Amino acid sequence: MEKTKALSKIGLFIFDPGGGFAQAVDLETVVQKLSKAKNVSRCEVVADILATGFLLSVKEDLRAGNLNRILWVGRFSPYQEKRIHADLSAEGLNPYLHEWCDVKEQGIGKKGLDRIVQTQKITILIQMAVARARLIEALEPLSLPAADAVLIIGAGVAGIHASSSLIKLGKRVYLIEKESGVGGKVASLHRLYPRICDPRCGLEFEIEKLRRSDKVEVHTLSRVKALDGSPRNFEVKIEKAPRYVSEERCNGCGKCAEVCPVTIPDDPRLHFPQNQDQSRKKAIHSPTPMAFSSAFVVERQHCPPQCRECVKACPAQAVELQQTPSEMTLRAGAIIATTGWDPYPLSKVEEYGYGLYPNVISNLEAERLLENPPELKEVGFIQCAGSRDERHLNYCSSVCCSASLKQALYLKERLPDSRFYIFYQDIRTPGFDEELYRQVKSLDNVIFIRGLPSTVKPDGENGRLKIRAEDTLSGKEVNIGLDLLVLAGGMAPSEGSGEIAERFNLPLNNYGFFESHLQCHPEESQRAGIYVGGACRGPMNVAQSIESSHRAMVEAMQFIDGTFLVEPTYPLVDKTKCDKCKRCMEDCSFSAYYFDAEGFPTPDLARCRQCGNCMGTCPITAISLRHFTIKQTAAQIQAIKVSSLPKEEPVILAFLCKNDAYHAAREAADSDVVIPPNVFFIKVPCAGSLNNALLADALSFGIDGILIAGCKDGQCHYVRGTQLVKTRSVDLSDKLKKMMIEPERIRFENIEIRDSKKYTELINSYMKDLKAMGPNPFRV
Amino acid sequence: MMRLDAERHSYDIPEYSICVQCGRCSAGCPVAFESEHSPRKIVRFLQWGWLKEACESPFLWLCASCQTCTARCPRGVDIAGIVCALRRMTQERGWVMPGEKLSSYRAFIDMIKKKGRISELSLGLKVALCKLPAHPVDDAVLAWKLLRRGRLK
Repeated sequence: MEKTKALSKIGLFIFDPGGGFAQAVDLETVVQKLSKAKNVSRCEVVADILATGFLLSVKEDLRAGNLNRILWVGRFSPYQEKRIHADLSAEGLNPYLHEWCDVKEQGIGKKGLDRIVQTQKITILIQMAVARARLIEALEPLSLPAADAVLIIGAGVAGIHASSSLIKLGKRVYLIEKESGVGGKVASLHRLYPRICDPRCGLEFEIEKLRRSDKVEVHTLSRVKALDGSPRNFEVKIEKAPRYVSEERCNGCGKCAEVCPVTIPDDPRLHFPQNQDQSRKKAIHSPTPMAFSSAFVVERQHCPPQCRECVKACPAQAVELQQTPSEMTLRAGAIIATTGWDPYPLSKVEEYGYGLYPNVISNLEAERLLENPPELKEVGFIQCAGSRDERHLNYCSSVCCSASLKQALYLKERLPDSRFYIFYQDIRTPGFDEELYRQVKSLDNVIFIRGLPSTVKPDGENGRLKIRAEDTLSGKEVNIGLDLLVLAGGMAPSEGSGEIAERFNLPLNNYGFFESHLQCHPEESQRAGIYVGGACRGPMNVAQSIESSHRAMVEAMQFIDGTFLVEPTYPLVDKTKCDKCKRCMEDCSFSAYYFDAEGFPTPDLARCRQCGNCMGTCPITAISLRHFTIKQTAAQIQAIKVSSLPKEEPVILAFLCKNDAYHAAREAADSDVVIPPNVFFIKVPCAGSLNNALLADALSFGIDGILIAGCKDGQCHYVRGTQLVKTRSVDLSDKLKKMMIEPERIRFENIEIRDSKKYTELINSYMKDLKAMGPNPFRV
Repeated sequence: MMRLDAERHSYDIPEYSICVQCGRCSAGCPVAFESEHSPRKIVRFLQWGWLKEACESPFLWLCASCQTCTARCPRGVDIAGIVCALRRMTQERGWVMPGEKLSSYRAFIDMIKKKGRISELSLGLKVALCKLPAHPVDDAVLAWKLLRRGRLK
């Protein structure tokens, strides 16, 4: 750093098109003063920044070694910035050796401000920028090698579609599935709304693409056991349960199933009690729900001891009852979890009698009914069963209204003499699903009752059910007898998702689904390189699942295929200072830190989000973000010569988070509102990146008040930056009291991106409070 | 509703704004349709701030405090508690249903205030006396039956 400082040769150019600055401030004096500053080799005002003559002269100076970095003062359009970068990089100037200082956003040139005051302020602002410019260094992005496959966990509709899209782009995929077949929950549905089409049609279409491709490996009966490695280079241990049938030799002829003496129940979650004896599934059966490869599977736990009927019957000798579980380790650059959902166990909604009466079934079980509807006279649907209910699932599963309407439509066609009752509190059919609602409403003998039943009771000995409810629209009591009751249950987080969350240390939200930044980055899991898609993110329908997993797939692609680029502005740990207290590790919201061979915390550059919270939290300032180091910020702070400003006016130094608070301040500066001139701000990557040492420094240099403005809680791009910096301030208060400085000289605020009004108000009120407090005792 | 807020706090009426009018409370209420009002309707009246309508409803005195409504509510609204609070309010404000003497309620509350406990025999007698001249004989027969079975202490 010292070497850098000594060798810095700064070219300082003040861009003043139209002479606006020359009017507002005494530019000549400013230029004169700054030309004499240390390390400033050239200082002038430029009217046309892209003028050929000007750029040529700069290039000459660079070539001759008279300049090795440039400070641009003023407001530049993105086009101008790009041109400057491109032109001068041709001359070898590293993009990180440009420093940009927009004085306008700090209030220079605002109407009504005194010329002398503005001249003082612009001088200080430029001096701050020069102080930083002395210490910046050339940086190159890092190129890290990456594995070339994506691992997708869960071969339901989301996983299958993501896989088929990846292979279309020529990428390699491992698709892991815990069942013996693929297709997930969607494959167990009979029909999909709104077209009332067979879900297996669309699924088979995609699965066929996977079968034909040599770029995808599908592993059924497989579960993830452990995760190692890091983004671009994950090592995932998979455990494969034995199939007991050779995938190479079995051709799915089914002779084994014909002779198998054991019939087993269908999937208990999909098993319709009345159809119990209709199960045709044997202990050896074709993969469920949909076959990827045709090889059968044996459920050994049902086999009678010594029975070898299937082995004997198989013409291809494909049955291998001696198979054992196997393990394999797969290398992938990125992982996508598409682990779907599980139906909420409706037996928990005790008042509705699920599990007690055989003719109370779930909406998922009702799909089986659609295949072969028995003779039914009166069917009831209860919507929101166990949903939107603080005793069960406290959210709406968004698809059950449309699903029940689809079932009603389909069934009514096949049972024309029946009568349906739909008990609801709202019918939620968003968008084009409204048409479903209209269709069902127009049917005869389908009665909608706006009012939910309290209890389901048996109707005497005949097996029928009786339900009582208040039809809230008429205020009247209704008493209904039913042959069958369908409970429209909700979508709960799947067991598979829970497993993955634990194995991979992925945070879950309050509802048990993968936590993600819902609006801006719904595909993220808060762990770099691991994405989530489909219903494991939250209840959604088939189309939404496909869209969701595609978003995850696109993001995952940056971690595969050869190399992965890392911006060079990552944190560096100074091992000569670090005492391994691990605070950086604990405060990192992205678990990016790990212990290196010597036991020092080190950031995994593929996981790191470069938010700087580690830099903020290190009690001995051993960590700095490159291009935003503690020394650089300290130099900026020191350059604020408080002594040159009138003592009656408090000086506020504000640290504004670049995502939100900074924009609010800039909007305030660009508008007509009056902002006190003695406010200087520094843009930071995250409020949490501020180290207490810098704050103590600033106060010891005479700054009257410090403002730290970050994102609102729950909205931070880096999860909890403002929270972290607030918590740290407790440590700082003690230090400040020892220094005889009032702890009220540090204020924290949450500001949203367009809240320039709030920014202005709080600056003004802070000024008032500081005036009342008097100047900082350290201010000379 | 703004008007109702002050009352809500002074009489401790449990939260009712969060009710979505699903009707599960009425569906499980044993007396819901004995009068023109149901528990759901009472909550609806409160949401509108129609305090008098709620308090003058005969439903308030039919409620058996079985707590089915509160148990079934998906939003955690304590409807039984609301009815209780409204009963207190009517008493203290003197809003009484025309024709209703509230004899049993008053007798019960007064006895608790005086003695801190209920003597079922005394209570029964008091209520019977209040009902004079109607049905004293029936009540006496009932009292004797209960006493015999050890149901009166």
